[in-house]
Amino acid sequence: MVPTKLPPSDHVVRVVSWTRLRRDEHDNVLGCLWHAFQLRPATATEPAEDYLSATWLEYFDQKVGPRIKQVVQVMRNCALKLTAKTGLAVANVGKIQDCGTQCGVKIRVLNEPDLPKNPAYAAIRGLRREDQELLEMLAADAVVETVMVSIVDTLV
Amino acid sequence: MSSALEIQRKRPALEKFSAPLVTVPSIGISRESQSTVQKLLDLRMHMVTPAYSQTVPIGADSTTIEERLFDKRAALKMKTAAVAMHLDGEWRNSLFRQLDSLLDVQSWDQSDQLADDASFFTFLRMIIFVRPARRPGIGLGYNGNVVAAWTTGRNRLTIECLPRDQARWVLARFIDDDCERAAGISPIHRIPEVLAPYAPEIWFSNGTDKAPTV
Repeated sequence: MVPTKLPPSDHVVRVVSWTRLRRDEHDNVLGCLWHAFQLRPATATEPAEDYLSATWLEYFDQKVGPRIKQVVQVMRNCALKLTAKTGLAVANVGKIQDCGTQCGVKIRVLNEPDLPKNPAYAAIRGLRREDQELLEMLAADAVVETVMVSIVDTLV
Repeated sequence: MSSALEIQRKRPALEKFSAPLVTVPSIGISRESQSTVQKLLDLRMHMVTPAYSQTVPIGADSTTIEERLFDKRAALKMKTAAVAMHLDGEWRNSLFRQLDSLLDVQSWDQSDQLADDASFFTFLRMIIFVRPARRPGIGLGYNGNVVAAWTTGRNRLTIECLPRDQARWVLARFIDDDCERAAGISPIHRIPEVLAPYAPEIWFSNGTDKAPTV
């Protein structure tokens, strides 16, 4: 399927491990470190990332139930390991693009369906690997909410 | 005549946002006390050199991630304990709790990298040198670099501790509702100077100004 641009008013959800959540000295979660938006470097078994993975929130029908809960279910269906301390960064598409514009980078947020398991799969493309200022802006300004998986699992 | 553009080379006074590491005794103290004070200062300076760094190997028999995390927690705590004389007991105990939380198998992600020893040494030396009264939140980068983060409202300071006493810092500082952003890589002994224009006491002060070091 052809990738489609997501509307600026919509949101994408990115998985953030406990180690990359921004916490205070008492381990209270405050948001995300800029490392949550860092492209993963190459490892012994995998090549370096050239885009960030996310899931399109508004793809899901809220009449079925909380959208974020449906996002988590889809992620688990894709064999993503989500612990109680995993965070979910909900980022606004328009703000992601604004951050890029402020840093002279054109960021594209695209729905790239990964059928059949994740039709809401989204890719954040155009990021530069070592642009820490941009990544910090994304973590601080584009992320509108950080939710813990433990909380999502309690939603009905 | 000194130039107005001359860069100040000596280290700035740290008392602005932290308590003195070593209280300068009166001129009436004994030679023995003077010697002790000098030794403490010398040891503090020693701590900001890479010579202190020694890689602590994880147990050769560690195979599961649980075992590797356990060994890493132990190794980092041992390294911290080795410099315990420079750390307030409460700071040290809180740091241990943060390490337990950070390197917990229940929250570990397969993409996470174990904390790098050289990075952790830089972190310890940075804390001992900068002496923030307020502890940071602690995270990890992809390559195992320890990340220290201070957050006060919208003001954010993030310092990624690199090997060999280097630090990658990124900040967002709101002054009169205007946001200033900056980033750089500096040796840890320059951290007070590079942060000075942004009034870092907003991050480092905790109201009691109790420094991590004794």
